[in-house]
Amino acid sequence: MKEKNTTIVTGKRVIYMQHGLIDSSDTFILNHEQKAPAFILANKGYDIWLGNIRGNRYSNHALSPNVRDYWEFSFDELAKYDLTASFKYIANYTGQKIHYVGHSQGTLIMFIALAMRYPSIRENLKTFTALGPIVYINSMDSPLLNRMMNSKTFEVLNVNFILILRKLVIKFYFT
Amino acid sequence: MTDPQLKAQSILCRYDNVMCAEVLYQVSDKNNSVNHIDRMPVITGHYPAGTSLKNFRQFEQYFHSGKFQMFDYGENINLIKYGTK
Repeated sequence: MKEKNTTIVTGKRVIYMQHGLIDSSDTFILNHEQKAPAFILANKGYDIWLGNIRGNRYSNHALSPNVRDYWEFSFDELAKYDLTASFKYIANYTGQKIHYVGHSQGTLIMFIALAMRYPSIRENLKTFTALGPIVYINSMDSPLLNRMMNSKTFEVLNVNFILILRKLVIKFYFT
Repeated sequence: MTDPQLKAQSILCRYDNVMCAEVLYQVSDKNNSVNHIDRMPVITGHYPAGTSLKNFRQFEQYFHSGKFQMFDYGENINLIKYGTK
């Protein structure tokens, strides 16, 4: 993202923003220009990069989403592959150290990456800003999620069942 | 309305922004203040963007264990993957 009414200039300070759980990069630009964080920072003259982790609607789908293997990822993989790959790409492209801004899951995968000491992140990270940081979640407030966690909903659910459900919904509702 | 998600959003939040916000209360937390009721259609048109079941499973493991740890596959597979139980 570039500053309003400007052309892209190299050498600006780089901010990389990463979204939260079941979210996408849209989250930083949803609001009006005066309120959306990515717009505010871009207008201040920073070079903004908005990251998307795999599995959301902006995924490139190297594998088909109908295949079970496509969904074989959790926070560990997001930190190990997605985050390090983005860091390498941005560092190569801009040649600068990165100011990282994470929200929710975005902070969690950064905490994992820092705990695991992945070299590409250690070398390229300048600062880390955590918005709504997540490390321990056993005391969260959400009534719905609390209930789902206590009844172990996600442990009971089957991947194949969800894949079939997904196909049915797409077939009968979206086409 | 080419994006399937926009179609899904329109059922949930077509009629009532306040009800839409109420659903969001349930997902986020009790003391949450949604102060952009007029933006609800935009937000819900973009917000659930998808992730994996395994991601939620690890979330659940974090919740039950109260620890910050790698994905727990059960003792046998953990031994193969990480070298420890």
